[in-house]
Amino acid sequence: MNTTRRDFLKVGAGAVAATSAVSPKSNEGFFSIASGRSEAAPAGEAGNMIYRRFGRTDVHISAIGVGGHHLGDVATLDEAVQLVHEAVDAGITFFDNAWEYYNGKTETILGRALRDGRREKVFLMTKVCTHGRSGKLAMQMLEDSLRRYQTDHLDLWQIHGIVYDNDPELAYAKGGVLEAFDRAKKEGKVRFVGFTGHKDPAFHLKMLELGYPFDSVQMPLNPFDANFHSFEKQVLPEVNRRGMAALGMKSMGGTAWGVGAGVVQADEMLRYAMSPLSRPLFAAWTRWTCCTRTCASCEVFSR
Amino acid sequence: MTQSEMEALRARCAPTAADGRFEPYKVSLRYDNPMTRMPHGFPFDHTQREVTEMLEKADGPWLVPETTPETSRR
Repeated sequence: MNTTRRDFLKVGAGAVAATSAVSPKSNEGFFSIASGRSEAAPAGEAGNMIYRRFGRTDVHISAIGVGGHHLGDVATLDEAVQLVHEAVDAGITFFDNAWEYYNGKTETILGRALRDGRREKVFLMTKVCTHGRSGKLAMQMLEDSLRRYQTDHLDLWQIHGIVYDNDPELAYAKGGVLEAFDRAKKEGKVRFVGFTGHKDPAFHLKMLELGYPFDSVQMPLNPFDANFHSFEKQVLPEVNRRGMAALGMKSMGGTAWGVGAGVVQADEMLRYAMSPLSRPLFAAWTRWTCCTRTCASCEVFSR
Repeated sequence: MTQSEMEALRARCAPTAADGRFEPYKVSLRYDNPMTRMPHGFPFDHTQREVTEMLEKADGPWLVPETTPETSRR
């Protein structure tokens, strides 16, 4: 492993510099770990990280997070565990994942990395992958995720991939995944729930219109999105209006082909995704694993 | 970024954003995990380039999930 924690903190410091403005709507904006106001903020150093309020809750999460899928891309378990440790030490509290990533491998990696006292320092998320199937299956997946994570609860459980036009209908169907959300919350196995998707803003809007009180909504947010079937223009305002936490993804456009084509620079994409001025509740999670290790020149983003 | 910086970046991206070429997750199957597609009852047509690319990119072995999947296209 060639990248050091110092290297990562340089990236973190750059992000702070890029987003050092206070959100116009949120009085909280973001703050340093030293303020002690973040529920999941790690103790000690790592004062360069920024934190944002999770929707209307009192919880604050790091404005940059670790994408779980990429833990499966790391060559060895030891390296992946060390990468998570460095992230926690650097002040990152938001950890993404999904039940189906690498058939559960990445949840297992994260669980291994967070045991021994790190679990309580982070805001732990994973996604349920029923893809239109039953709430019963969702609860089975939840038990899988909890076992892999070596924890008794998730901080955030999101529906993975609202990408087909009938996904909202299936989610809201009797016996569907939303019933599992209610049950899991009631049993104390999850604190917050939400959904994700990258295909069409209309599907996201349908999920919202049908009325379930989601805590978070995850969507692509980048300067290309703003010009084409835009989640930023169509979905983000509605999410903010409802006081839900808006979580960004695809901050590099997924493939980073726009970076490779020379249209934009990687740091511009990241700064755009993290800019709070037009999205006060926005918290970006991005693949700092790539940013700091795989391809520092941002030439070969693979996803 | 300031609002004006964001607006400038959006404007710079606009000419190449209009057909989704730099957002393949919106306009292709590239980001649709087969595990997403199967429960919806969509077939795998291996003659389709997009399906082939999706399968090549997917996490394997994706046909052996830990929890037995249902199939329920309603």
